[in-house]
Amino acid sequence: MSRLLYVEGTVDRTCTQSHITYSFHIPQPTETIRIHFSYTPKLLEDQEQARGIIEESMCKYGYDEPGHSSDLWKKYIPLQNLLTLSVDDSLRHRGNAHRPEMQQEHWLGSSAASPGFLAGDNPAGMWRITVSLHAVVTETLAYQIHVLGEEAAYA
Amino acid sequence: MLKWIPAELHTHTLHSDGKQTLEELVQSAVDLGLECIAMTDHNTQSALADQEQVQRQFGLPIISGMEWTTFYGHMLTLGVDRFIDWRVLGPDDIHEGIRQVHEQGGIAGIAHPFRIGSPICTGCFWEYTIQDWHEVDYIEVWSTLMPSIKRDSQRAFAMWTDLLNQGYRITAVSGRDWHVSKPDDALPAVTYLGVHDEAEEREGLADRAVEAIRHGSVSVTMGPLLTMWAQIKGREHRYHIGECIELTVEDSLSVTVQLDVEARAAHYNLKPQNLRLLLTSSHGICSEIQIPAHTGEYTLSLQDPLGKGWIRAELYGCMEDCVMMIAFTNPIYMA
Repeated sequence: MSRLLYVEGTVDRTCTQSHITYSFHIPQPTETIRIHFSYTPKLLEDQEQARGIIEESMCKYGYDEPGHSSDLWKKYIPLQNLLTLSVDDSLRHRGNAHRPEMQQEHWLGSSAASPGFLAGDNPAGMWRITVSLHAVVTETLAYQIHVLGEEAAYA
Repeated sequence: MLKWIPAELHTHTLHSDGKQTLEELVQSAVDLGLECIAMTDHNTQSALADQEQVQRQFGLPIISGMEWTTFYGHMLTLGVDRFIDWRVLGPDDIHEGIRQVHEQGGIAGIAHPFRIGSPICTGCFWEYTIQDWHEVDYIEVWSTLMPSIKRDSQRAFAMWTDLLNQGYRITAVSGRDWHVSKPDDALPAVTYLGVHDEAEEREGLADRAVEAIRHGSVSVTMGPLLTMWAQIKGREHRYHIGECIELTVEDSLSVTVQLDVEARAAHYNLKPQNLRLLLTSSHGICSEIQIPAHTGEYTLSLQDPLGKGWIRAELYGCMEDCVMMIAFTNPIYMA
């Protein structure tokens, strides 16, 4: 098994609604590409900060009509960070894991792949992994991506 | 012959954040008496690897789709197989995305346009700039379970009506945003698609379903099927939902509305009661009658020439202990 990419990053709220793309080279066709992706924290625990963000959002989107309970903001807690990961090999888009877990394992094989991704040959060339930062609600957030290549075991 | 197919157009599997396989989703759809679904996972189409096998197994057509779950809006695409890169489009670029969807022969619709947005639900509130509403094929005006009583849906329905009044011909549909099935789920709405079904063939039904949405041949309901057709008095030709009538000043129109409480009757409960049946138009309410909650046909005359615009049927009454809009048709247009 060979390590193809390892990155760690830290972002803050200004990064919400942005993408971070890593382009990296895979030197030879590879039977299975494995991706370990994680980020932390998941939740904004500070209730006062959450209240401020939620009330601002309710106001912006027309959810704060007069007469609503002052506790209505609690309907939307806890606020969550949401990062998703998508993969493009050197020839085509391979899929996206749009799910909320803060620790994710994905793999792309020639005949099968983990949910969200298309099975198929893993060609040599420049690959891209894109982290889409749908929501960063905490002051900072740290993430890691670890990509490994695995050749078929031939008898 | 026009056949009305009960469909669900907004679904997810565990290939994104749904809790069900495609097979489990389709089994649940069959259990609800649905005859077509669209597979619209978030930003992936990998569930469609099983599309043909699942279609064969259940005899239920699956429309290829995706929900573009972006930072500035969630857009449903139907009838699209090839990946179109949503990640490169900014808040003023959605027409480029729609153009690429159309280029593939697909259609594009706005999902739940008034659901609360970022950062609570990123992109759930539609914030893309629309420069030309003619390019938007449809709007999901009812969303989630029990949609017709939801404020988000009522805002979306009002927006749709306003766009119709401005002269745009946009189809309205419901979408469950189906992530999971539970035994105690509240009542979902159903989108009936009017497809031409001369051959009674399942083959190609998914394509014809997309065509039905494109042409506005759609009726949306919490249970009973509400349809209508119109005729210019003294002529034989029937104009169906989604079609356009060329009227002259001396023409008067009769509209026949059909209520069908037998289709999918096992899947909802419509208690005996008087229902309000309305014909509404770009000029407001043009006819209102009380009808029983039975299958029936009602012909309403519109003596006053309506001129350009649209006309649709709406049904109100009590379901699930709530007084609500029970069903509405898409318009017949007049030019």
